[in-house]
Amino acid sequence: MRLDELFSVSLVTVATLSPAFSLSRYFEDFSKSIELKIGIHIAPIFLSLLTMLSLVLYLFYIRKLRPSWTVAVLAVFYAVPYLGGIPVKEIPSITLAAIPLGISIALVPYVEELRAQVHYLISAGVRSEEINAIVVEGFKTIGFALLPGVMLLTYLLLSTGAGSRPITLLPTFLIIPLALILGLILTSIEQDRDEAEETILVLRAYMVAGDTFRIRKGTLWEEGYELLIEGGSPVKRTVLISFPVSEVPKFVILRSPWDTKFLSGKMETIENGKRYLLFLETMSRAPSSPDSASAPP
Amino acid sequence: MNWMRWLFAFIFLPIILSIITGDVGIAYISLLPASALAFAILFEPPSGFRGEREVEKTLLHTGDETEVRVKLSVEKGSGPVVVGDVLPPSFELVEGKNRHVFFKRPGERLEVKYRYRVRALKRGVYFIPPLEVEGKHLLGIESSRYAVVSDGVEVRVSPRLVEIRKSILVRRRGRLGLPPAVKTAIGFTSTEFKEIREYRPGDSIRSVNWKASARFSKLLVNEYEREGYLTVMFYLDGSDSMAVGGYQSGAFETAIEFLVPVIDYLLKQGYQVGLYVLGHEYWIPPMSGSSASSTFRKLLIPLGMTSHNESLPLAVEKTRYLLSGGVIPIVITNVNPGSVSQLSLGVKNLLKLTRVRPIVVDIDVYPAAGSAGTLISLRKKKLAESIPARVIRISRADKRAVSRFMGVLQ
Repeated sequence: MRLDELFSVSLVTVATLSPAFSLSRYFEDFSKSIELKIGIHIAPIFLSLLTMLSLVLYLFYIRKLRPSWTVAVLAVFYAVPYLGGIPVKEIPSITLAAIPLGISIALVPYVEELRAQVHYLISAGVRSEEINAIVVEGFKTIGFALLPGVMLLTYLLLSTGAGSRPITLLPTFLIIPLALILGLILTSIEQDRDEAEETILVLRAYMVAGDTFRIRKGTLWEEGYELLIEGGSPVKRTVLISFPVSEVPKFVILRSPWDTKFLSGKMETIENGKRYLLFLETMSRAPSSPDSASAPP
Repeated sequence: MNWMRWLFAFIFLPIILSIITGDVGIAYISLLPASALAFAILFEPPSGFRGEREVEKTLLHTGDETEVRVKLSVEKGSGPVVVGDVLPPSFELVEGKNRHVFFKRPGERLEVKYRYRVRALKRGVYFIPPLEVEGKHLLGIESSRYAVVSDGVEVRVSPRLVEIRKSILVRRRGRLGLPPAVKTAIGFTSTEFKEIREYRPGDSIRSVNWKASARFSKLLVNEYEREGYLTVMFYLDGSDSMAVGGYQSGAFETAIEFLVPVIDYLLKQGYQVGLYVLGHEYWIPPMSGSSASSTFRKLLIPLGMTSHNESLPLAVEKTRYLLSGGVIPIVITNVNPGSVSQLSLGVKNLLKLTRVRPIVVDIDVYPAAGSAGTLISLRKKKLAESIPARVIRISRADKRAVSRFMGVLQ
């Protein structure tokens, strides 16, 4: 884990310990001081919302902070009024405010993952309606995933006086190892089922090649080989070639009269009794490669 | 950001904190990320892909449209499924999309159908590779599942033929160069014996008359009458000098779209037609009959340009044995300052070998480029004056290019 992630998660966890009413009290004091100075009463809830919203606008839209950092800073802000004066031992328990904050923190990385996926799908030319549907379905499924946790947490908080009278009957700590063990068992069962009878090599590259190219086998090396793609008029295009292989190469060089790409294995999947090996272009090149800028002419 | 790490941290930190503070209640917050993690581990990325793809028409002409229908099913897992075709660059989407994303819900089989229409913009033999499918894990904690399903499809796009009006055909029948009744000197041999002559490089070893050779102490061959009538020999420039203009409407494309109907027409009229492609060193010896048309199309439709430059004099030298006896040589190229000297030399050699004034078809893509294009066209015109041949300038916009060419052939 990176230090920044550890830091933000720690702060968030500490923040969830802060009693919500204390935050209201802080804004209530703030509201009173405003009333004393300028004689106008501003509701504390309005002040808190305004402050949070301003902070979000500033951090996310102006400073262009990542959502994880924005949430982390909000959590710090949430915790700051109490970190100075309240000893940890005196904090009675976590509060119900931890639930929405916990959910939002759990969702932040998913939102980032989703943003990356949406960006990729837009660039691939997928319709916006389909992308929107994917986002909605994704959130529904995540909501479904979090629901048991939320229900159990709410029940526990209610039945234990917000954690002040913890019950020891429910082995909360065992949930995680049990989930992991179950997951590992299921994964191993799945792996036993995946046996491939045929291996398909899939080569994918974006390069200058003929529009109506034909494939010709080039030089064979010990650990890989070269494919020549000839014919057609040159155009920058995506080349996708798939064929069955008996031995898996470590690399493939795709060479057209106008361009050369070095491909290496990036993904391996077993589907319907076939092993698919996806080879994508790699940026690494030998210093002596003619494509390398540092290579002598 | 790795969501798995985030979830683990968010599970364990409250637990550690609860141990430090002695407040067990703090650990309850671990339930939220634990719930999400359990779900993530239980559900794998979408897999079990099965797909079918159907292309409505696989034989097209440039400008034609065809519909592609795709049916996909996903059996297992949960998460987004990205599916798409890698279309060749010469196809334009006119309706629908070739790339889609669907959501596979947990426990439900996903079945989708979609269709899209494409237009072929350029001639060629294209291969549409199999359908790509990628199943992404909902929470991104497992690597995606990837497969290529269905078979690749070959689509053949022929250039749209220019309709030569019947009136032109009737008017020009039998008036092309020499009268069609004159037997040609080259092309496929018939069984009709003509004469015995001295061996020339390029003659088949089977044609050697061994008895006569022994008697006269020199290599003699049997000469037979050739099939067909007059011969038109085309020299098509396939080198980079034709790489001007747009990818789909450049000089080379204009040349091919001009050449295919001309060859068809000449073959239908009973003439023998030969072709040499400069740069590629491909060539078709003079052939006659309308069935020969498919041989030319087979070569020309997928033909592209090459970075290998081959001069016209060299090409003429390689084909000199085909160039005797009333052959009309026609060179199709893009006249430019870099190639004009070699072009002139090649044309002179053609004239010497055939004794027929060659025709140079200069492909001009510049009129479409505005005033700057006009200046280049004027420059090309000036260059063409130095070539000892009849030069016809042809542009893509010129709808009567083929008819004008036929007029010059007379």
